[in-house]
Amino acid sequence: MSNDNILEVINLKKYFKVSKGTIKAVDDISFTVKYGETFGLVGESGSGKSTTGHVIVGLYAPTSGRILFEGADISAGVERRPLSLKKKIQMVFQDPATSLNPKRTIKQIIELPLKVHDICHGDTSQKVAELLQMVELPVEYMDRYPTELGGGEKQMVAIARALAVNPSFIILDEPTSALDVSIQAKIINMLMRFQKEFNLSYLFITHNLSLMRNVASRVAIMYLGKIVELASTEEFFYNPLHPYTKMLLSSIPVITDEEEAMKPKKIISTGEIPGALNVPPGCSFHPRCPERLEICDKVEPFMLEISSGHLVKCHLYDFTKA
Amino acid sequence: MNNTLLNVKELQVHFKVYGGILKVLNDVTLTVNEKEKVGLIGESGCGKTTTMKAIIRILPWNAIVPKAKIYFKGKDVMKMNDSELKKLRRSSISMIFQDPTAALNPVFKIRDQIFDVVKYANLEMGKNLSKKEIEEEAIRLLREAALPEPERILDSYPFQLSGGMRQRVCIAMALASARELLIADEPGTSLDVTIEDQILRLLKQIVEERRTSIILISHALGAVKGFVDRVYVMYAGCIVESARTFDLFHEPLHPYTKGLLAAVPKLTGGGIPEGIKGRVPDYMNPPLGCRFITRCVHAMPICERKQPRMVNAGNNHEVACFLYGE
Amino acid sequence: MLEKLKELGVLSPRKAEDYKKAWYKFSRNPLSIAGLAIVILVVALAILAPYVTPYPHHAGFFVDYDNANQPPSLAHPFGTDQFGRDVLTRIIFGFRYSLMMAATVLAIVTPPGVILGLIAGYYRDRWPDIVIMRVADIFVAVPPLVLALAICSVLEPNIFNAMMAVSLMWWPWYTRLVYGMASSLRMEPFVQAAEIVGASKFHIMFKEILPNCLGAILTKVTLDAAWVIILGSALSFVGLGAQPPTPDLGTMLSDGAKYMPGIWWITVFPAIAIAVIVLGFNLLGDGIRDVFAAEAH
Repeated sequence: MSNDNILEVINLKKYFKVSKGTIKAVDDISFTVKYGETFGLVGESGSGKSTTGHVIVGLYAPTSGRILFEGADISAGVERRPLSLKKKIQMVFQDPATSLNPKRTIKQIIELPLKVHDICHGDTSQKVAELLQMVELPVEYMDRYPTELGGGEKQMVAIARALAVNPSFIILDEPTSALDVSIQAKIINMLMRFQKEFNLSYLFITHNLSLMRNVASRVAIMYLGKIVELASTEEFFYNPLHPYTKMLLSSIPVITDEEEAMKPKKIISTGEIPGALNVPPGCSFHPRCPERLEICDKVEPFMLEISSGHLVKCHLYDFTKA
Repeated sequence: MNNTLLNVKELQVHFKVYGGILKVLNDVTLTVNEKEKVGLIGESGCGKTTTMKAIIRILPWNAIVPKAKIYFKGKDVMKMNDSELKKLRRSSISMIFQDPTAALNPVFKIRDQIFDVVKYANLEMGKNLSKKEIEEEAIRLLREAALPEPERILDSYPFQLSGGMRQRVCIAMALASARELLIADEPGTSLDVTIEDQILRLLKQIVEERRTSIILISHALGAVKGFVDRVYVMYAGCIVESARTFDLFHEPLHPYTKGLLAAVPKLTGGGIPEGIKGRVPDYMNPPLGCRFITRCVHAMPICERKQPRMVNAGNNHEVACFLYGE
Repeated sequence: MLEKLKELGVLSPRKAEDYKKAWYKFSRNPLSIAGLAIVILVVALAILAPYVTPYPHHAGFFVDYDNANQPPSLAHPFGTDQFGRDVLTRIIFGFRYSLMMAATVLAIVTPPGVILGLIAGYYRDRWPDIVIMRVADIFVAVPPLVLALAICSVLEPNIFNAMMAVSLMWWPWYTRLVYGMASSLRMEPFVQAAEIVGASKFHIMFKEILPNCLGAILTKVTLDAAWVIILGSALSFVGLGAQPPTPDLGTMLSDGAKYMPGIWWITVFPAIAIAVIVLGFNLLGDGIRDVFAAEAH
């Protein structure tokens, strides 16, 4: 067991029962996040990336599998987690317009974690002001309501709230996808600075591969609840193996010629993601896969380690069978 | 060849709200030629959609239009009466919206929704189609939007279709009435990347085959780059730059365009540069001069006093900035 | 007025601005202002009834057969009833009972209804939800007037029992309203964020969820005031609410009905009064809804 992992997710499953059957939102995934790193989780809608984040932070209890945080099992849901654990794991949501209560002032929002964890022993104004300054917002914002702030400013408030309790691990669930590009850059840079300053580990969830390229040290890509490829960022972008990874890379709109050159040429996007209730048998990507083999609709591939730290779940690379 | 289809000059749109008047559009001027693919780039709230709504005259009740010259094929849209406007919307210009779920009525089958569009579009053209002809035309349009099994789609409710399929249905419906100009307002933004890519490729193929003009509105620079011939960049209700696509992406002139292009994370890595500092000005009290002045690194005294006009920086590359020309 | 209060320091600039904005949204619809004017007028008349009515002593037990059944005149603008009492006076005093009934019922009903709805919504799909909402369903299933009639006929028919009866069948509507909102707000990211931070259930229910329901609750209270008045009048009309000689609008209607159509003013004016008060609360309720409605772009 290595000690440099802050988070280990082992065979995690999260199923939701609905009237028409069972949705396998997260279906047997495993990964680790090292101390101080940014681990990227990429996927399109319905891939289960957000559910994974929600299970780790405790909003849902897992159906099965284990989550180890600093070596201790934390698989219980949010209600059964001790307060000390809630202090260590925080989350920043996608849309700050919905993650900040419109009826509470910025001060009330930021001081909630301070009060719950009794950080200031009484007067919180000083600490709230410090937190606002840290995210480069004017202290006068304390008495304002979220609706009076711009989208980027709201997300800064959400970040200040997450940092208020000095966490060691933050789940960033699409923190900038609701924001404009010119604001995104500022928020991402701030997050990267705080990571160094406070020695934070991030689980960065996004559908934006270009963004992921610039923030993550390792990347896992999810498709219909499963991780299909996991690699270091360099390896992932310059040597993508899974056909889905290639399809996603080829679909990204880019603006420079150098980027255009990086995109896999031979593959173009076809088909759509099937509904969560009709996950195809075998490899769930096979109906859209341009390189599919005979075996793909029958047998689900195993996760294979192609090179050190580069894992892929695809029959194309299973040379034992070939 | 270079026939102007749409000509918008000095369009101003204000909104009356609590506390005063939002001066949103400030002298927007743009043209679209026949068979031309034009992009309109800008961030949220910059007035892209308002511009389009003003063009087809579907602004909300609290909008005020102090000044506008909008010509479609030489006809003054601002002076059109109701029946002329109806004709314009039913047979000449059509719009595709960002969210296909909101654009389709959830309680009617696709059949009922597309039939009406086809019927009235043809009626405006003086053709009264029979039920059977309408069905044939609808199926043809759905097939053109690359929808498999169009007969089955007709008998579906919107919720039975995926997001990508719904957007294709919206495209098919827009095609029924867009004989000359298609306005696509962030057509892929609410969809997944792989689906957005498919939708954009489809749209491009369709407008090229049909030789229709298109205005593609987007905040995603990359999506516009691979699609259009010419780009307008909009900031805080003003057109700040216009150029051929290649020129704009290789040699942006306006400080805003430069900042915007730099702020996009690159697939090649290299970290993310600082974005554009500051925030968009308040539309209730916009700066007297250039509206970008609050965030501009090159701000000069003249920028405070005067509004920059569009100047030609050569090669049909126009920019509204005092750093250039004059 | 807001400016004055702000200067005096009673109102923070922040709050003053909020109220100004609320008034802007409210006053955009002239009907809302009409509703507010009616309600203020009715409330003022009710409070000042002994001072503004021409014959305050006609409100209670009073007989003057010489002046009975007089048609509207200058001395008696709405005429007099079968006992010679001034109808206008009795209508104005009648507002007191109508408003009192509405205020009492809603004050009794709203807090438990709202709290039960919050709890059920927070524990959606778990046992508190199932217990509370099924009980609420049972109360909703009984036709309101029937239940009220049953209670008032078993117990002594008086205005107090009438109010109790109406209250008993009214709370589930608040529970249902708040339940619907709370169970969806429960899944909002801002509630999840509070949970992740470790906030208590009490905090989440009352500080995060409840403030977002207040607008809808206030709207419903205003609209319901009209309904309670109608229902109270109906109970009095069939003789199970306020008893003569109480100047209740419903009682006046039923008393006067005997003399229709010849001596129409005894019935018609109280009926109009009920209609006006109900209309006032409805218009006001619509205005309040506008204030809390999300700003449409």
